[in-house]
Amino acid sequence: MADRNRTIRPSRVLAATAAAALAATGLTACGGGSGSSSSSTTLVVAEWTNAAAVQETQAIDAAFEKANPGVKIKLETAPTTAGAWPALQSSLEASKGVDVLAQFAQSPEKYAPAGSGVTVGGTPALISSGQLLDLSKQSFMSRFDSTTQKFAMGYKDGIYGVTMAEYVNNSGMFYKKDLLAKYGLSVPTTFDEFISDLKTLKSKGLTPLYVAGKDGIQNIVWMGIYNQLMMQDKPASEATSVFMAKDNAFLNGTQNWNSALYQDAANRYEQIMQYIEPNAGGVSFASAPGTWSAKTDDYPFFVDGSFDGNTIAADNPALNFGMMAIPGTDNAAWNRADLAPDLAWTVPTWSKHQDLALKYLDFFTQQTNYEAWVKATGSLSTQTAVPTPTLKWTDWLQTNASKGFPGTTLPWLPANVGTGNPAGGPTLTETKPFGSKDLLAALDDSAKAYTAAVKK
Amino acid sequence: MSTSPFGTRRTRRWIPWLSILVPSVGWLTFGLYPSLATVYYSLTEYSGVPGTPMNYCGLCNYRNLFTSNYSQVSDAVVATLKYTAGVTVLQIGVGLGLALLLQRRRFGYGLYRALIFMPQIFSVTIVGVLFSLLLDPSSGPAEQILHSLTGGSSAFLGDASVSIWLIVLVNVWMFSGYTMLVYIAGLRRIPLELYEAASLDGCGPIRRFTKITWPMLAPATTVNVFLTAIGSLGEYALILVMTQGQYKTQTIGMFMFNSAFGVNPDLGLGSTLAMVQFVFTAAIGGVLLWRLRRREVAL
Repeated sequence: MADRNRTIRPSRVLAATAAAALAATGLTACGGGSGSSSSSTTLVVAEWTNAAAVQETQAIDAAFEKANPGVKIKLETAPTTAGAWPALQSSLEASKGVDVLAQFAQSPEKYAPAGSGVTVGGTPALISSGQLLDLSKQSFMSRFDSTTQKFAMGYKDGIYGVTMAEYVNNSGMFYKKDLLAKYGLSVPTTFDEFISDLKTLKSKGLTPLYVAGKDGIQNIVWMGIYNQLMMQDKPASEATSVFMAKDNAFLNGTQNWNSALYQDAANRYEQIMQYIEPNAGGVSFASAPGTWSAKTDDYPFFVDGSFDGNTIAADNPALNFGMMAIPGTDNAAWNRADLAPDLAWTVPTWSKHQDLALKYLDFFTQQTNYEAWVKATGSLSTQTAVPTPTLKWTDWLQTNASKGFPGTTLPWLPANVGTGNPAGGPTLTETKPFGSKDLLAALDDSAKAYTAAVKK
Repeated sequence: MSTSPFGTRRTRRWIPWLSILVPSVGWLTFGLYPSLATVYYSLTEYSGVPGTPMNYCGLCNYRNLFTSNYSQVSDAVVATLKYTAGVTVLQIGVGLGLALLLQRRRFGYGLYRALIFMPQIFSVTIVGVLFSLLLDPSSGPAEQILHSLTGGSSAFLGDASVSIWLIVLVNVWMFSGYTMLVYIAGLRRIPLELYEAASLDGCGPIRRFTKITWPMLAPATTVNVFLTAIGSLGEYALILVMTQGQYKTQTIGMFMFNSAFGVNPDLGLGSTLAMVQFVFTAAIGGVLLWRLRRREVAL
């Protein structure tokens, strides 16, 4: 099943280079094994590459080793680009060589009902086949907001991971405050205001919008808008039921990719895309934050998730920028942030050092450690006692993130729907302005493909 | 009892069997077993996530290739054929040209040959990332060069009309040195008397090439064409690094990798695509080899 609402995590070129080499040569199969000796125990921890997250994890690991003499932590990492992270994860699972494994947090919607004939894959498959430990009774779970934890990694009565991070992913957009001020523009709150700003900026000779189109980051606009249209003014607590209803409607044939809501979203997406950098199709996800931050006199808006906020700040400390949700609808109240629960730590049931792994999670989630971690990553806090950090670019988030809703996934699809199959929605690298296909026509193709894919 | 470095007569009897046994076990373990497992996985619904059920489903994955996944498969076949044809034709042309230029044993030529061969030893990933940076339309030099020469611009790897050809060029840049070396070896086996006789008969350089060099290079051409085409038919690593199969660059190999080891892996579908790739490669490779060998005989 394609998973297009999960935008690729940040990675730097060198990290991508190293780990993609492993993926390309198949050497990831030699991934870490957990071993112990009489003098020391090695705890293997694995997470995908997000430079800030990895750096902070290493700092916490060092503190854990100091507090637990005789314990060594081996941290395995790989970027999510070029298939490196899935390859590392597969090899670690196959060799049962990991004790604490990062997973992308899920949603209840991921578990298709038995009668649908759709089999779950990825993390839900690990959970439903009993390979991850139920953490719901662990004392450290009480530090976290139980609703978020249940939503992200809950299955039946258990919670199979501790969700550490939450970002504005779909609908995320950065903006340069000084450029907006220079042209007398305020942060847009409705779709019309946004288009008007884009038009004004274009008339001043600027390229209003920057996006890493080579890696499909335009999905953030597309999925952000249709999620906002779907959720409208419903409270975040209704997200699961709204999205489950959508999934059932797809399965029953009462809704499809060419339904009115998606056509409306497509029209809005196309209007916004008129203002992107003309060659955005060749811009890579790895280089985009650096390029955007360096070009202070152009590209006022940048489509990207909040996970890149600290990267941008580090690339150009002098840049005065902010982060907001794309105003995809005509109603300001509906234009909320689409929140994506992100990194969740899990403990495999076959871990050789389960007790130590749980002790590690207890240590990792202690308030001081967690505070440092969210500050380093720019994540929204999922702990009740830890506020979302105040950073130079998080002013909009401080006010508005709490109004957001947890984002949707794709409709239920059989696992053997191949990569790029339009049943999972239009492939935006093939539609205008990145390709030649009209988005409305692509929606029709997707609707046909979805119907064919789920036909029993 | 006779003595020898290989033990007694009785133990010597086992040496041949042992010599066969060791590589046979290696082949059975690392060659035959994975191949048979791939065939079996292609007949199952299996995510590849350890511990999850593997359900035998007969030809369901093969059926899906012609129904729900048909457009991806046909696009992948087209991309594979474009890629293979482009790489093979260009690499043979460039490799031959370089061989003709650098075949002589003169001072400094060895250094040029080494420099041209050098990209072959670089990691595919390093090369892929390097060219991705060069071709970045916002920050790479390629865009500036194109703009200064033509006034135009391009998304390069983000433009479906050129992306696969750019990867073809990178592949040719990497591996032409190898093709050149095979051709140089071939050129040095051509008797000089043939050229002397042709010169006496008044043949110019073009006729000498078409009537002597090219025909006499037939065995080297067979090796080069066959190896280049087979390598290209299975290519995914360079594509993975440069575009991840986006913008019409998803070859069968790339489709297989994405399906088997992507974000939500499906080893059943991935294995089915591996079987398709095997048949595709065997068919094209077989026809190529048959034609090239016939050409050698005819010449």
